[in-house]
Amino acid sequence: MSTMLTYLAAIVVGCPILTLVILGLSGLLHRPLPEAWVDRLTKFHVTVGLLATLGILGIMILTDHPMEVMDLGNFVEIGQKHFHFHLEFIFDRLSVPMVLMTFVLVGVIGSFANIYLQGDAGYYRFFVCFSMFLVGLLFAFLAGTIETLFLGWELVGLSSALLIAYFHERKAPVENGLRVWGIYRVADAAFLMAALMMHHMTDQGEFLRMLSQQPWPQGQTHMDAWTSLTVGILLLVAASGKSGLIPFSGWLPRAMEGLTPSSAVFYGALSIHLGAYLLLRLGPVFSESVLLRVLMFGLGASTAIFAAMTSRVQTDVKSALAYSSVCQVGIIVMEIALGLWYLALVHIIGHAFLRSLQLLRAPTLLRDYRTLENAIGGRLANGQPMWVSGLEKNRQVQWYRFALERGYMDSMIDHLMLKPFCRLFKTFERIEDYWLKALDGRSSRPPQDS
Amino acid sequence: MAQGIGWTQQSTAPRQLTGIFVNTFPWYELVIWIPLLGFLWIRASRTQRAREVCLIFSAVTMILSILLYLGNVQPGSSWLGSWFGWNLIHIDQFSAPLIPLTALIYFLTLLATVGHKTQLFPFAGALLGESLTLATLWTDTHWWMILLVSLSVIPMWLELKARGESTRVYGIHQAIFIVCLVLGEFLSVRLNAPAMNMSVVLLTIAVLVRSGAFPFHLWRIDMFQKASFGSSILTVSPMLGAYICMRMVLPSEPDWALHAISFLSLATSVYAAGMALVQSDGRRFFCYLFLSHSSLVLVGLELATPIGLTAALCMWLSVGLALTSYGITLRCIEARVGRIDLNRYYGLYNHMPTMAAFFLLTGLASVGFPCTIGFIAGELLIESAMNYSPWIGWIVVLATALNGIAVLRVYFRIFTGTKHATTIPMRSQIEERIAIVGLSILILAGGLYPQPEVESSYKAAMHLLEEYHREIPQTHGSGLHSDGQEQAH
Amino acid sequence: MMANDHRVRKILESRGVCIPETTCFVGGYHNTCTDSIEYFDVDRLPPTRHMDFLRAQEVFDQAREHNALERSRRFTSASLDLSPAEALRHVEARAEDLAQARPEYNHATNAICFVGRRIRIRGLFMDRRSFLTSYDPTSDTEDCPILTRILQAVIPVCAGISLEYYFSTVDNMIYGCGSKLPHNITSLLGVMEGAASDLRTGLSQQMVEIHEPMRILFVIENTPEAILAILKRNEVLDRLVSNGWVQLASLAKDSNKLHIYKKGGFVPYEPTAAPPPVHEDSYACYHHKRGHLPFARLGAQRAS
Repeated sequence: MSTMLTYLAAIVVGCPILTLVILGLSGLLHRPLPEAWVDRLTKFHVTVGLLATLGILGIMILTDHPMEVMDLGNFVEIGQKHFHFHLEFIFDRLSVPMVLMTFVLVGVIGSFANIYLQGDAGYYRFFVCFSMFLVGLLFAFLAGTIETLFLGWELVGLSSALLIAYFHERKAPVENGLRVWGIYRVADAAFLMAALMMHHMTDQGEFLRMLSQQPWPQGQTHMDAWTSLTVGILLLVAASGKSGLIPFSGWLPRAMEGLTPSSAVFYGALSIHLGAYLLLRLGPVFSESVLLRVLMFGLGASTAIFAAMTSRVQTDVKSALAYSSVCQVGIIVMEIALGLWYLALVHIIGHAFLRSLQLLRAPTLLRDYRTLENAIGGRLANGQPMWVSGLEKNRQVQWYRFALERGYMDSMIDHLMLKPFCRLFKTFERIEDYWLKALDGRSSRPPQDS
Repeated sequence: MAQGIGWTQQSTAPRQLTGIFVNTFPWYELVIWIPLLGFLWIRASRTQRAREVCLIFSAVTMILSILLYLGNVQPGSSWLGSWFGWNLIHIDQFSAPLIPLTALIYFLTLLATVGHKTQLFPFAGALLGESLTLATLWTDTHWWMILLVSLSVIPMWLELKARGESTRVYGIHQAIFIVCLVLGEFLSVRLNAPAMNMSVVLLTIAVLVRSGAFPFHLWRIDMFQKASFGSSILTVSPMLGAYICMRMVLPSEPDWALHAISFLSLATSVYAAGMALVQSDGRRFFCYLFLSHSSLVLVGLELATPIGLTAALCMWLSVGLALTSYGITLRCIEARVGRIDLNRYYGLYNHMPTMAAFFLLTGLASVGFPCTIGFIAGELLIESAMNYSPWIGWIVVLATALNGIAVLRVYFRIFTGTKHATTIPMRSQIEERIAIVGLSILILAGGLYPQPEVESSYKAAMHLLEEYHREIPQTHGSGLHSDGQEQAH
Repeated sequence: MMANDHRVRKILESRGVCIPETTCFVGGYHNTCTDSIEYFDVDRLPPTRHMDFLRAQEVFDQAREHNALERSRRFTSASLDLSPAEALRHVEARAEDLAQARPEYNHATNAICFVGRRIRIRGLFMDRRSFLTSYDPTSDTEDCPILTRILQAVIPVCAGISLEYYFSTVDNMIYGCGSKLPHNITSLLGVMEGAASDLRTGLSQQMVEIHEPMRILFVIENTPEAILAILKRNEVLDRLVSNGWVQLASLAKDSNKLHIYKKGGFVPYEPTAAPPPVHEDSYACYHHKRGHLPFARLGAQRAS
């Protein structure tokens, strides 16, 4: 049985990697596969992966095996065990449902995209990024060590940025793609700092050993209070960057610059849950500190309320759906803070499917409205919620503006972080230019074109 | 891949004879003489086909050095200087991979000179520089190294003069470098304490100036703006500052000096990362990016722990391959559109998709993206930094994150954002394609199968620490990747 | 429904329009995307006419299938070997598929509008490029009031469609709305691209990708003098025609002579191209071909 499990696990992880390698290499060598082949390859590997995961699920249920660890061994090892970089995948109650959901959604979106992108110049580029995304997501969900999780996050980040900038002949998608990449890098950096801290204190690299070898969701960590707090806060920062919680919610509507299928699967359904998944996986780190749980709950609650308000007043359908997603993720984070882990897991899966459907149907919104109104025989009700009508007019306008401007969060980040940063380094550049000119003794000439 | 240098195994007589021949012929000398010969040839014959001649000579050098490395050939005593009884040649596990790497860098940079750059690039000077650099890397004798390094400053100075540019910034910094180096070496053989301290300080300053640590980095910016892009890349890429640090500083300096270098390099790394993010000129951007990463190499070196040195050596290889490829690609793009202005969008993707993919690959490899050659090096470095202090680890993480954002920003500016209308075909030419495919394979192979590289770096690191009789600090092995209770050997 | 009411018929008779008792009107809606026809108020049809209606429905169903087949040849995802029934299934699936960015090609490739008796162009295969308006010049009076009313409707509408396609093809980024793929519905009244952009108007790239940009040619079956008189009396039509937004030709009532409108007057047109090829039927013309097709004559029926 266990060899069977190992083979299936190898298939689950290996198939998408193989596909990525094939697509990437043939693109790099200037021999891109024709569209029909790309389509068949994608459908094949997703189906195989899905079946393999179902097989693992079946075996795990039948043999009452709560957890399967696939240890790929040391990727790199230096003698005397001074250093080793360990790749490990865990199939357990948390990761198997997520992987199933991933394969189903990715398969559906893949077949959707195959028709949607027919004849488009960027077809190949889309599917290369798409398979990179799948590989990254699988690594992130199945990660048993911090390195594996980090690897997954990095791949997801890169493919997300490239997919958002899919329509790269316009400026707006490219600028938004860069912004999302920036936020992802910051989140990754925060995560890495937390991980480093954890290991510095506890000498452990594997999640399992950190959580005392117990299958999810049990587990205890052995860190002192101060370490726990720092690590927890850094993890919260990383999770809010990845999942679009306050104050990073601004990246989600920007991510809608990409294609409908990629917006649907990535930002509505899958990658937005990566932050919440991190909090679930490292749940025991938080469960011991009441302060952290209060912080998490506060973060989730404020995100949910803010997003609920904002999604109501957005003028375009994709932003409205984006903020609805953020709201749901906020609620999920609240559930995690309360320790309702299984509920959060079910919530994630249900939300993912619902949001994918809504985002895929978004372009037919006008037609759906017409159908609905024909059926009703009149306009849809458009009233205000009670708490809004209770306020006085000025306050209503203020809240409206606050919600329309998405909480001013993007401008705050710009104002408090980006602009001062740029100003500081531009000042340094001016100082350097001054010194260069002074040392040169001559006025600077226009650079030669060579 | 071969690990270190050792005697070749012989079992039969003909093999023995060949073995003796192989081991006594001064192959390594050839590695220096061939480029020098090329330089003299081009100068003497004033040929019109300087580029082809140059390519042939550097190709031969590269192939020879790679074969010597893979074949584990032991260097005999050097012919050069043998009439005085000196053995100038000294190649150990540390410098053995650097020689083929440098030869490769030179060859590929020369190969990828296209477009109008073929008229403006000083090919002869490049060969002279290659000869001097390889000679520096091949020796351990201090005064010989100092002489070579001082001589290698001259070609760039002459090039700047030939372009009519002011050489003051470059000249001042290199003068400080040489003077400090010479004085420091001179004082280090004195045995009284104040002289020793002075020597330490001077050598430290020399290393910092050459490596472009803050605030001595101005000469690099100046050079990148004024000289040709290719020569600038070739000047900074072999990282002679770090090499001098390894050979002259590491053996004898006290810990406080090493930590000073380390700290300043770390500050430079973050400073350069931030500067790279706000640049509006393509060349300056590359200069800062390179500075940020080469400073990380110095950080690793100065930590002087096994993992630190391993990290530094891995990072050296990664910088040499990935960053140089990145620079070469940037140069190829410059050959087509002129100086790159990062305040506007160029939209070149449709015209050169392969170049775009390669640009992205090398850029990400430079910043340590997973599955590329720079990833393990980055992880090792963070690991070793963490052993020293968590704050250093965090700062390295921050610098890498900023570099990652900068690299993608530049990618988006050059290849996307608008439609570029042109009638000139911009597709990559065959030479560029060879360079691209070859380098991609190396970068990805190094990333997906890093074990050999890491092992050889580790062996080299241990060897260096033993050779220089440094005390290997007792680490309690509590970092990201080590097991709990292991001690250093 | 109104035309079936006997009170309405009596009033019409008093005005000179006689609708015979045997005529019965049924309203219908032809969805050009799914090629489906929906009939309204069939329950109000007299039972005596049911057989006629069913027979008509059979004919319409056959026409639907053939129409779908003829349209499907331009869809790259439809194989060239479909049978009519399969083609109908294909276009129905296309209309329902969420992922389909090209559910139908609408008026793409439009090039001509023919205003005249249908018998004149019987047997001419025009590859779906022509708008067709029935008009009988023989029952029109000297002043051509019927033609005037027809042209007042047809010319602005068809010119609008043709120019819309023309400009969206010529510069899709500026005059059209770019590719459909990044569109985002805004304020429930329009589309913009991505997360924030200008409102996009015009046709999308997916709609115009098979269109040949050209000005529409009106071929009107009447004398040049009558047409010129109508233009003189209608400023809107005159602006469109004399400023070159549309092309105009006149086909003689009793012969095949054509006159082309040039600079305020009509000049005779001498055909320079070879006569169109002859095929057995339209299926033979378009079978197994994806691209644009030249006009052809169908051997079974000859145009007069």
